[in-house]
Amino acid sequence: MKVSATGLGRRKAFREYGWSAIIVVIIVVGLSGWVVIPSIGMSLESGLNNYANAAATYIVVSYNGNPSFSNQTLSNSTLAQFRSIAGVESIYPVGTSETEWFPPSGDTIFPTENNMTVTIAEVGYTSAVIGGDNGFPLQLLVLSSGTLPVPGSGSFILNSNDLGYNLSNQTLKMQVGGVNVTGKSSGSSQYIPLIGNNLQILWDRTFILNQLGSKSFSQTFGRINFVIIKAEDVSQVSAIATTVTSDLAKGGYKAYTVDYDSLTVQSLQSLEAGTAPEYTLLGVVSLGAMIFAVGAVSYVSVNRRGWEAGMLVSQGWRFRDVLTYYFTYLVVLLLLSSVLAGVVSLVVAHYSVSTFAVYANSIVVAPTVNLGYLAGGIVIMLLVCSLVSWAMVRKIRRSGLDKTLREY
Amino acid sequence: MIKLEGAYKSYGSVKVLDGMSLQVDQGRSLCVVGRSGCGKSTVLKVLALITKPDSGTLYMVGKDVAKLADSETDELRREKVAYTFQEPLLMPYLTALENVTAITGAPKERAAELLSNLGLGDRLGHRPAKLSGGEKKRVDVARAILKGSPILIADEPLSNLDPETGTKVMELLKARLEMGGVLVYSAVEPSEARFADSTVTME
Repeated sequence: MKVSATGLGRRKAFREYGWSAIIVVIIVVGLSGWVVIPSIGMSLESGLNNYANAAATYIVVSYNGNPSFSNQTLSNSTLAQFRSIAGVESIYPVGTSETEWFPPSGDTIFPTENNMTVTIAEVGYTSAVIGGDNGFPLQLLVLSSGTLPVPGSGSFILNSNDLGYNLSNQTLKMQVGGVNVTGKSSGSSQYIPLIGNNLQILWDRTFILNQLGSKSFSQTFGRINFVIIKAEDVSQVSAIATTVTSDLAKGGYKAYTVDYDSLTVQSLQSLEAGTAPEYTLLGVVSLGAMIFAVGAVSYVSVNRRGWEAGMLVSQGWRFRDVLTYYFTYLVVLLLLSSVLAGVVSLVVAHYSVSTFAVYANSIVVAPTVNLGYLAGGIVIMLLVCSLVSWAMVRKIRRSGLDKTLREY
Repeated sequence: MIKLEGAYKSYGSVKVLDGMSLQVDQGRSLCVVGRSGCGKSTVLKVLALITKPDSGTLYMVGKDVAKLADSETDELRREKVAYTFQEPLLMPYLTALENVTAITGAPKERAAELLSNLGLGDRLGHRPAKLSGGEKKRVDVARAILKGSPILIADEPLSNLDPETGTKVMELLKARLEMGGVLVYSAVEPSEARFADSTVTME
């Protein structure tokens, strides 16, 4: 007659639920720890890295005050100096000027501390034209909504979400280079805070050229007073900014300042130097503890009734059947635990959201569970199950049936 | 079919078997009678290939067991021997019926029928914790019978049983003899040897 060692192992797992629950809880805790902790570390690092590489690799050189009055423009030799700094990937010289917006009468009346009201007559925004010589580079213009301006249509792109007013979807009375124009936003950019906060409106080049005429256009947007420097890597940003500052000082450019996303750089450096390796170390410790705990508890759970194996052998079971019996028992518990650990990991990861302060903003990184860790943990646990099963059968073989049965 | 010659066995300094010899031929039964602690269980464990004598020779179905490799002994036990325990060893998480079917692989209907014959018809779904000592004993006996091996070794099969049930159990165990099997069982009371063809008394 054929016996079913796997069937008996399954019954043991589901019916001895007290011990099964203990083992399952230990495996779930260990496996979840092993999965979640390094996953969080990896997610934080990659999330911040992605942001940093997309947004924090820029350095902006801008004019202090109204750029329309910047009488000291950046020379070609200064730009060449910037370009030659180690770690600089590319530089984008831009000519900027102020665009004034005249809010409609009565629309911008604010109560003050003394219950007085102030009417905002005009609001100034730093602006540039899109593309062309000294224009805002098209490769940095990624739209989050709307479309690029139709050439000659009197449209612009909103390059910042910190304009103070809602300028979307309305025809606006504006002045550029001393010429009154009527403008309307055609879209918004997926702006880079560092750049957007220094350059808020991006005009359609053809429209502005038509409105101002080539001479006035050249005087308004043709003088380089704004430079975007792209570093090859976020780790080089700080050093490049220092060199740029030094070059500006040497050139006597006192009216210019250098900005970069120092908060992101610091957060990333702190994460890479401390937090991420700590998470990985904790994950490894968690795995080690899990292997030890699961191995020990599994062994105790099967060894506390070692006579079971002796009885089975005395009733005609082969040792390999007994091995299958124990292995099945532990694998059933492992599979249950793996499913639970997956769920627990997802829940824990869901609530382990981290926020990082970055330039003029904060980014939220929600960790994602790395299934590779779960799969790796399951493989390791299968090895532990095999080892425990093998150890039990070996113990019976070494100590003999008689001694094993006397444990009853 | 079984021949034990000059078997010695000690547990530490306690000598349990001191030159024990016995023989049981095909189709015959033997009762080992003796007071508690005289070594009856040890003899039966030797015959059931659960333990080995320190010295002496055991022949089983024509083979000198001492000359067999461990794997061959395992195979001999698996194929030829069925054993019932003095203290029935049942899986606590299985019902009475499952303790027979899951361990022996016997069909459910056949196991249920045998257990019903042993007076356990209304206990099939009960786990060992809910069974009395006598009921556990009968489950253990049913398991050995359904294993279908020619050599039946039963350690005090009548303990905890009333005379009527005891007789029933012995009839079922002896049924194996008609198919050319062998039955060796132990008993404390000399009167329990009445079911056997021959008796060995241990001091």
